[in-house]
Amino acid sequence: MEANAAVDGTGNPIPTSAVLTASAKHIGIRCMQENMAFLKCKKNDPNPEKCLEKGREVTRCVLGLLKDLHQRCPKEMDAYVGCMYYYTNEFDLCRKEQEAFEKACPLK
Amino acid sequence: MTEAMIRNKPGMASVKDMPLLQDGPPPGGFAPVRYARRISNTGPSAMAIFLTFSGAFAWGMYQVGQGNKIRRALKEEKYAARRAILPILQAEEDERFVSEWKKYLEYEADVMKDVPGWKVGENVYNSGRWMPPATGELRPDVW
Repeated sequence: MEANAAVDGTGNPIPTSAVLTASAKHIGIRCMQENMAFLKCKKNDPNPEKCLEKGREVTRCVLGLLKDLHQRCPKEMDAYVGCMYYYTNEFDLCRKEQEAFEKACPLK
Repeated sequence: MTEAMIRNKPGMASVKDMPLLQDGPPPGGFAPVRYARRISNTGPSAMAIFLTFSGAFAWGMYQVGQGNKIRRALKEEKYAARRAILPILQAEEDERFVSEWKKYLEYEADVMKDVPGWKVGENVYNSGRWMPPATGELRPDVW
């Protein structure tokens, strides 16, 4: 399995840094509630055992979102993730793939 | 002897009558050479030069500002992406930490089971806040 593959054997996207930065804008919009809830919980109490449930919500939301994105526009997402992997998460060097990805899977 | 052979004039009586052989100016003298300064007074005035310089400087600084705006937008994009993925990374690390911590507490209970009055686990600081474990035993691959 190459390091820049976006999905593992069963079609679930692997949350590598390339995949996460490629879908960062989508995550920031679609999972904002869960993210904010988790961060508020952490601000209250940094103990990891206290915020496990909210953390699981965040993980569920983000992994579900990644799977959804990959199902809706697999080719564009793979191209964008590959470009991110090649250029180590540098947004400015992957504008073309970013445009294609956001056209195929719009940011809502 | 050689001077006499070079400079001789036919019919001279002695060496003292030899004609002069000198390097000198051509007849009529050399052509006149100009050595006076000729710095012209034409061209842009001082104010014109100063204004051109100030204009170029101002335009350059404006371009610097525009470039900084673009660079700041790029940095903001990068930071926004990092802010968006921070919670999931922290949540995954929390899960991993909690399982490691539970294993560690069991190990501690096992080691200290014969010590009277030892409260397993959280006998760290007194402030009431949660502090991450400081010894580095939990992540030997990092430390």
